[in-house]
Amino acid sequence: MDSRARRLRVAAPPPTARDDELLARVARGDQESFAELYDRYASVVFGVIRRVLRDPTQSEEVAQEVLVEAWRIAARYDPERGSVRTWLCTMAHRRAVDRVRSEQASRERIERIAHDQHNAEGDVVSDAVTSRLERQQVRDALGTLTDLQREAIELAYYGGHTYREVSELLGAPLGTVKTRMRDGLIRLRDAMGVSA
Amino acid sequence: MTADLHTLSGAYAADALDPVERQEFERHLAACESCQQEVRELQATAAMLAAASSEAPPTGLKDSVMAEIDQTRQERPLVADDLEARRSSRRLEPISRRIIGVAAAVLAIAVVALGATVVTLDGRLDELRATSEQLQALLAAPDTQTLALEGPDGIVGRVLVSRAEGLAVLHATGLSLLPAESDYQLWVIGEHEFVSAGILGVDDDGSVTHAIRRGLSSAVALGVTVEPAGGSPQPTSEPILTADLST
Repeated sequence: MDSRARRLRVAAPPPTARDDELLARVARGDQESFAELYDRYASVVFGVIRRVLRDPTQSEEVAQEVLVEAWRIAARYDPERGSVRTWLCTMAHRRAVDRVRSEQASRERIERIAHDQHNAEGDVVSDAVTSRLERQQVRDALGTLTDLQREAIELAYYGGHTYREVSELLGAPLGTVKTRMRDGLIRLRDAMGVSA
Repeated sequence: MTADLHTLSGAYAADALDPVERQEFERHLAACESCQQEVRELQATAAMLAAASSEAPPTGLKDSVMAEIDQTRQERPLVADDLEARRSSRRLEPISRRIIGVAAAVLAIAVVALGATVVTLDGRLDELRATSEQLQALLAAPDTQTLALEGPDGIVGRVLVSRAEGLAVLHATGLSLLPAESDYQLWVIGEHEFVSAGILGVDDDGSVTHAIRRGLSSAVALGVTVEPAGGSPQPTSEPILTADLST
């Protein structure tokens, strides 16, 4: 770490600092707070990117981009619009999806999906140790959805597909897919007691 | 109409919109409070799906990230109070950069649009020439009036009308794109009847310019309805936009 970085350093964040306090410190250039933020959320960021991209090397690249972006635009975070975790997840997921779409013609991915879907079966809960309870909660909540709701959400969120692609994959009309994605997420929201 | 856009909140939260739709929805989002609330909640829900996939990153990642942030300049916060003071110097930099970003995005869209449009360019040119001639006629007519289109928030429109010329031109922006099975249809509304003035060809940016050449002498109003694709002989729904010609 060079001298400039040392000068920027302020008192270490208390380990109990709330996420938004931590991010406020990050916005002021505090690298130690950023390190703490990393420890809290790198697994979630990396996990969702890997879920969408699958390739570990690419996932690591994109995770680095997202985390550095979080550092760069920390001052833009607005607590009114959601938690720090949601902010990071939204950035990570969107970046992963953008990468996947820029890389492959959608046609190609549609042809690949039957295979992928097979592998993805039952993969919602992976091996990492963090927050077992939350995984269980998500799995239970997904279990309350209709097949179409669940498939539409999984193909879009974990598969990185547009709803048009999902419509083609499921052989369901566009309007139906659009609606199922929305009412499925609303049902998940209620099942998990999510508030923004 | 907007109800159609509302239902995209789920697909938006799941990042399942293509870039054009994403932009369109974000424009809608900026103005729609109920969608903002819903999107906040659905994004938080999606974040739970993300959390359920969490996986420890490779051990080297933290060092690489820490090394890179050490070399990365942070964006300044947007502070309303400071705006005046900063406008002269520092704020200019990110703003100009943002404008360049927007310009690049617009250019990219324009390039794509150009490819698609080139085929129909001749037809469009004829249309534009016709519109231009109609507008000239309206500007020259002694009795031309400008009337506002009444309708839902977000749609802004005017009608230029000259009874002497028997001509009107409607222009509106902010129209939602309809699904393939529907069209906007314009009606000249008389004391006792509705007469179709054609299907509105709405551009991808939600704007439309449309000339009306018939039935204006006895018209009391103009109305726009949503009809099955291709239009109807008589309106099948309430007008969503109207202009009062009776004054």
